[in-house]
Amino acid sequence: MALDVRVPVHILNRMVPKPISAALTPDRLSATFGALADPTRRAILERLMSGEAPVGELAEPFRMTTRGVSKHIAVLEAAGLVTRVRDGQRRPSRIRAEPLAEIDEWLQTYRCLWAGRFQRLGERLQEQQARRRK
Amino acid sequence: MIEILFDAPREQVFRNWIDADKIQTWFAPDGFEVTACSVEARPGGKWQVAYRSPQGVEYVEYGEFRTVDEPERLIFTLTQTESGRTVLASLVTVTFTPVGSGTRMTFHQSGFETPARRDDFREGWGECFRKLTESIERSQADAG
Repeated sequence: MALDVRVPVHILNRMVPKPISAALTPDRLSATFGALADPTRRAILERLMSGEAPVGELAEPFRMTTRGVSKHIAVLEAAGLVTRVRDGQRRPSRIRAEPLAEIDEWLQTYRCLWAGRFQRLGERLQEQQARRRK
Repeated sequence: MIEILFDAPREQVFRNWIDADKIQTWFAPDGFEVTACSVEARPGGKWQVAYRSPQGVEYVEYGEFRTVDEPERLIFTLTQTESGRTVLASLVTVTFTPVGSGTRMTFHQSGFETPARRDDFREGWGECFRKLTESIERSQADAG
């Protein structure tokens, strides 16, 4: 995706690394990354985007027992990516967006950091050329 | 991936990435003080930039070059630390393509890792997470 460098300089230059907030501690990010670092769990999450589902239904696409899928759901739950809903005897899983939004925010910090850098690089290049012409 | 057009020849843009004196002038944000900068621009060579915020928070970014193909491509590892704690480790690829008298520079950062998950994955997550987040928000809005 292309970056529009016409963002005002005073805004880009103010994009500085912010100390990582308590909510985005490396441990919390690690838990989320760890939960997502498995293709089965990513597929489960994708399925849950269409709505809640009980374990049996989630196990269906995989050649896996409900016990096997439950283990994956437990990892997702521990990372806060999934919550179990009380629905009588069934406890379907429901996806939670917060950890993903946190990662997106964390990544955005780095995108902004580099945007500011490249703005400054552009300024330095122009100054270097101006000096050469003198 | 970030793509930028610079009105300067790619040889000049490339040199701003590998010359320690030049890197110091753009790498750290305005108002931040660069406290150290060293660069060995060759495969296997190490680089480091240390800078301090006005509030006194110390940042160190460092890594190793994998590829130094002047003036076309740079590939290097990048680890970012904040107050001595590793925050991010990634692989950066920068390419430089002439466009008229200027340069199209592309920047790609991938393999985001926090120290605990260093061995587990190598892909870039940026697009993936944004799509997942948008998809969740859409389905929640539909359900609401």
